[in-house]
Amino acid sequence: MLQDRDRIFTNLYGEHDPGLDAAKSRGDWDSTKQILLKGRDWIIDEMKASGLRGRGGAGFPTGLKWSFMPKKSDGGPAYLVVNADESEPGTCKDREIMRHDPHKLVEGCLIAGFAMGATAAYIYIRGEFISEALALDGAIAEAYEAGLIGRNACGSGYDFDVFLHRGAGAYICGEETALIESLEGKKGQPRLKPPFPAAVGLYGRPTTVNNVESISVAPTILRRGASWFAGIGREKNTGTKLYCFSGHVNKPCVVEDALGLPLKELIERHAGGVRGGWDNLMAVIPGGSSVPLMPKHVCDDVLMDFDSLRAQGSGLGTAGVIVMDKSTDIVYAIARLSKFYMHESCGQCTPCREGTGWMWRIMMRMVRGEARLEEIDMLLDVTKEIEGHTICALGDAAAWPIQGLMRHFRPEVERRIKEYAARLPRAA
Amino acid sequence: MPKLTIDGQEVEVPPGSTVLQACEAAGREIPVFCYHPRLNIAGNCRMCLVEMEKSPKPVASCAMPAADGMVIKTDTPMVHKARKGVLEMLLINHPLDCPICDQGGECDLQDITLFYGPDHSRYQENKRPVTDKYLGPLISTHMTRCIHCTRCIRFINEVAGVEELGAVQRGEHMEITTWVEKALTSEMSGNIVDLCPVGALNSKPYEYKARTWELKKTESIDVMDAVGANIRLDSRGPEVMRVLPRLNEDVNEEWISDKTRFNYDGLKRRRLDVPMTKKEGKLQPTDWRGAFGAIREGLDGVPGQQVGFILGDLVDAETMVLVKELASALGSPNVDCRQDGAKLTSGDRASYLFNTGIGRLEESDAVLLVGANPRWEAPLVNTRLRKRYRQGGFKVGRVGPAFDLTYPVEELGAGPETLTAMIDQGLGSQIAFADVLRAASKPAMIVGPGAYARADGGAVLALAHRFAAAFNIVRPDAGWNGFNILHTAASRVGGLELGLVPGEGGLDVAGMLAAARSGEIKVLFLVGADEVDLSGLEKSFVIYVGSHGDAGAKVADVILPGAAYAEKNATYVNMEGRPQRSKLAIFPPGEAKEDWKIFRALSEVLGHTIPLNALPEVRGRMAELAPTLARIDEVVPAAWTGAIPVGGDVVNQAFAPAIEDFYLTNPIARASGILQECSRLFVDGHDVKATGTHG
Amino acid sequence: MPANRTFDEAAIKAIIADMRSLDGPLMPILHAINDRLGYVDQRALPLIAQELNLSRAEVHGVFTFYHDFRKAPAGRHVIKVCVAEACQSMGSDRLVDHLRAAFGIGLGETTPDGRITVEPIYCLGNCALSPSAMMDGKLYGRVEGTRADRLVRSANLAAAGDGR
Repeated sequence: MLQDRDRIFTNLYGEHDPGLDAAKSRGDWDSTKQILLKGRDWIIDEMKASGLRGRGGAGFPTGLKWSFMPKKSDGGPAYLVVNADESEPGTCKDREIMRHDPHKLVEGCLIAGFAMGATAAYIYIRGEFISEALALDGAIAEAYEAGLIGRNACGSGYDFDVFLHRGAGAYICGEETALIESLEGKKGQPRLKPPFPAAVGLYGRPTTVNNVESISVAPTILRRGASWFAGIGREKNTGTKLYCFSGHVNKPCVVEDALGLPLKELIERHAGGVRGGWDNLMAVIPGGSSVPLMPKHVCDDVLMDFDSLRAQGSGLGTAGVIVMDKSTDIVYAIARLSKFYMHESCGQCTPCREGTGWMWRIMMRMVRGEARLEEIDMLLDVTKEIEGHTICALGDAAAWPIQGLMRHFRPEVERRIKEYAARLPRAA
Repeated sequence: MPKLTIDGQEVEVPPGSTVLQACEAAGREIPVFCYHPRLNIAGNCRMCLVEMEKSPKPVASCAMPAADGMVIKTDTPMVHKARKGVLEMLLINHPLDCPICDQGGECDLQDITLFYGPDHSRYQENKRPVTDKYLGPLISTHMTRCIHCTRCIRFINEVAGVEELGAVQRGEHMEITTWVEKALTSEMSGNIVDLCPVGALNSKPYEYKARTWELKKTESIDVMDAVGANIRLDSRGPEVMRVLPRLNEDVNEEWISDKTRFNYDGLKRRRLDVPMTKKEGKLQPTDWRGAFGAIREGLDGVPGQQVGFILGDLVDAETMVLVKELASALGSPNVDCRQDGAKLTSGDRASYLFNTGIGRLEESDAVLLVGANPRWEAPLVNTRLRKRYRQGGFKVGRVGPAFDLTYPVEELGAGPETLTAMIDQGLGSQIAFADVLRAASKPAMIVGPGAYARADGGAVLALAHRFAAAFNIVRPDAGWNGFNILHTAASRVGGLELGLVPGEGGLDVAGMLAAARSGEIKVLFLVGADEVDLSGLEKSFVIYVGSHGDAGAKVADVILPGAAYAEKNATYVNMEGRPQRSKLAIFPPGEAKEDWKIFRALSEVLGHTIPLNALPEVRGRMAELAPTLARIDEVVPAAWTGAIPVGGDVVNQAFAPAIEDFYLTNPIARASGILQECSRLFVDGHDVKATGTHG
Repeated sequence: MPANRTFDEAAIKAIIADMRSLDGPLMPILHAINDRLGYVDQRALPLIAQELNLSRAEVHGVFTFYHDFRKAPAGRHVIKVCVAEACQSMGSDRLVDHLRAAFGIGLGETTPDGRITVEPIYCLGNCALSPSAMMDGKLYGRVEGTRADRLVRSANLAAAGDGR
């Protein structure tokens, strides 16, 4: 279990003031100039050594990502884009950072932006996050006023701007290239890759897109040292992580703890356990809606980190843990996710545009049992026709929950189909 | 040059190629819907997925840059599965109304489904309803059939340059539409019908008129302007049912203008289909013998100097050969093919050709437009200029009236004085553009009818030549001739090549008309000539030879019904000097005959028999008169003499637009109901009340 | 556009003028209009396009892509009328007119009391019995004349039973 002194987000619950003075008293903006003066290479090497993996879902090593930006500027701008479009069902961690600890993000923007040679940061915040946007806006204004960002940021001689940009209700804008399109004022339709954003990104300039949490932890890592962060958690799954527990737990919460702890321990310690006791557990979706669910027997001893969950056919994703007890209509739950992906498909690629609606419609019939047994395999086949065949990963994200359901709860689906058929009047 | 391995076969492709192009180079066919070689890459249909070594997912070959050492497989279970899956997805919401769909028989979705698709549908849910959209009088929509490839959006934005189409909503509700039920205003809009890989966008006039497989396909040449777009006439029985473009990279690529595509209903309206003579002040039907007899009487005792021939915009080269022979047999020097009053002269080819060539405009880095509106005068030249603009590093300047050409144009001045000023030095933007021209490696100027077809046109042309010399527009050593005359009539360059201009002491068009009004010209032949002022010709005997009952026929004493472009095997020379041949698709209506045959028969009645009895003989004579006209489809470059024509004094008066109404420039177009509607809508600006249920 | 909704062009223009210097100003402008007026009036879109030098199709596309932007400030029985080609050829338009006469609404509309919605659908797979319609999942074929009357009666009966 994480020691209090190892906690990065010391105001996660808003017990203290989010403003600049209070943030400074919590250690933010401490010797930021000295960190910057150590240079780009030092920062990137330190981030690499910390083992921090992207907290937005894909788990790509953050330091490595920063290193992809051009080493030498061609004189034009380059951008850091912060993905604050937190919309993954079951995920509510970034909003806590922005509401209660926004200076961690603002300082992170400066340091990360400096390390990658960016001239400005754009924070793309979800449209629904009104109070978060206000808090963040306030923090940015304070930082400007205190000379922490803007011209000669922190007295480092480096000019760096931070802008806040509101989304408008499109989940797909959480995909990095869709987010860039949206920032440019266009429809959030993911771009073809290559070229990758590090070469051609926002306004055609080199751009790196990072999650709020990834950026917010960076200053603390650099202040306390890569080895400190790397010493927490497990190998290749280092550091602390914000977990979001929702669903059928006694005390839903967001909490910071080490990576690589047993799921059961985390739920019981932080979330007050499963409603009706652990044995009442049916399944857990461990990383936001896009990752496949895990039935109870897997949850009994699985560890919460990138590699352990992948080995179980699921993923850490955003660490948005959705807990479902035995009262859950599991088929309907997954059908609802299918509807969500249908609603959020951008419409560009054929398989996703057409397939997400098809899957939802079949799923809704399966909820009622109004289907034939062979349609289960057909549905799985449809998910395979979508998975991996689209520009971005939304198609995959729409396919996986259904694959997870059928992998673990196929008998339940079959039962409904058989019962429905039995209720039908026999054909004359 | 990247070297790739495609299905075990090594291919080398030019840098900048895509994997799709590499696959094609290796002889592999990759099915596509959204990809189009002339449009930006969208990568959204996902049909072209192939397997790439080291990539866990299949990649979209249309969007993947070819890189050295790539190993691509196009014939694996992963690829087959992906293709089948994408097709199944495309089909689930696509209606199965192929039997009544205009695209049936030439549908990419049908064809590709046949080869790669599933044999039955597993989709049991309801199909998606989509409201049809109003896109104007030319294009009908069946949006349930749309597969969201976005080719139409990309064409309208990129090639046509009008930004009127877009996609709204998202996910499965995504729809292609214009801004609130508004007609597309581009003169190139019809091309999206060809681009649509399914039957979502159809030709509205052609809709439900025919099935593609019952149509006879005839390769022909368009005559609506002097571009000579390569077209295909699809006909059924006596009717042309539709006009489609043919590929010719040097001329029209694979586009045609809406005037070219939609004039065909004009082929069956207002037709002259029987010879007529004027009796008691009224035109009465007669037979060929009667009509020829009337002409013989009219010409009786009239000396050659008092006979004139004016040739219109659609006359083919064969007919002009016969007219030239007949005029010379009658001793008439009064022959003119420059109906628009162009002061271009025959002889020095480089002085009247579009020397750069339409295709080679893409090499140019700066273009000066002089009294030219390429968007209306030659839409496909304008399309090239826009294409060049989109490639970057290209500047266009204009002397003459402003008009939206779909790309930025630097306005330099209104009339000839601007050219004079720029030769000296000029002011402001003139200086800047003069520098652009001087710095350009391949500068070009395009001189339009607004400059050369006016009273002082000869002087303006001389000035244009002086300008070309001052700015080194023609660089024979570098293989570059940037001096271009923009023509508007399909017949003009053919006429100039064959020398259908006034002979020794002969009158030009204006001179003939004036002389006819005063009675000095006693007999006037109007050969398809309708776009000149024909008032006050009562004192002369007027013979109209042509296809349509337009202005010329109204003033005629005798009408000889001729054939329109779809109804004859004929030669047309485009503005580059490229002779091309149209083929007979349908027969002329009623008594109407191919025009050269009319003059051949008339010559016999007049006692001056021209000994050209069959098409090969006519074409043999044509080659004698103008050897380049025998080199079909070829452009024989014109030598640049550097001689500056003699032109008189320039009147410093602003260049005026040469075309007032793009859609109604010739008798066929004016007879077309479709083009009349376009004119009403887009030129006159009468907005129709679009209800969305249109079409 | 309901007549009671006034359109304050000056206010829209002021918002645009206020934000046009931003990078990627389209979304901030739409947000501002949406926030201030509660929805984005369709008449604002051409103004924005003109001011930002964007195509109207693009502005319209962006506006409809993001669901936060409302078209209008903020219905139990569904009659789906097949309007695909086969049924169209057999008179689905007449059926739509029939329903309009009966309920006062057209395709894609809901009665003001929220009782009945009429929707277009493309092919119910009942082409041999065109025109077809479906109400609350039940398929009706050859819905013409008296059979169309019967469909209307069924809908009214079903709606009348709602309250119980």
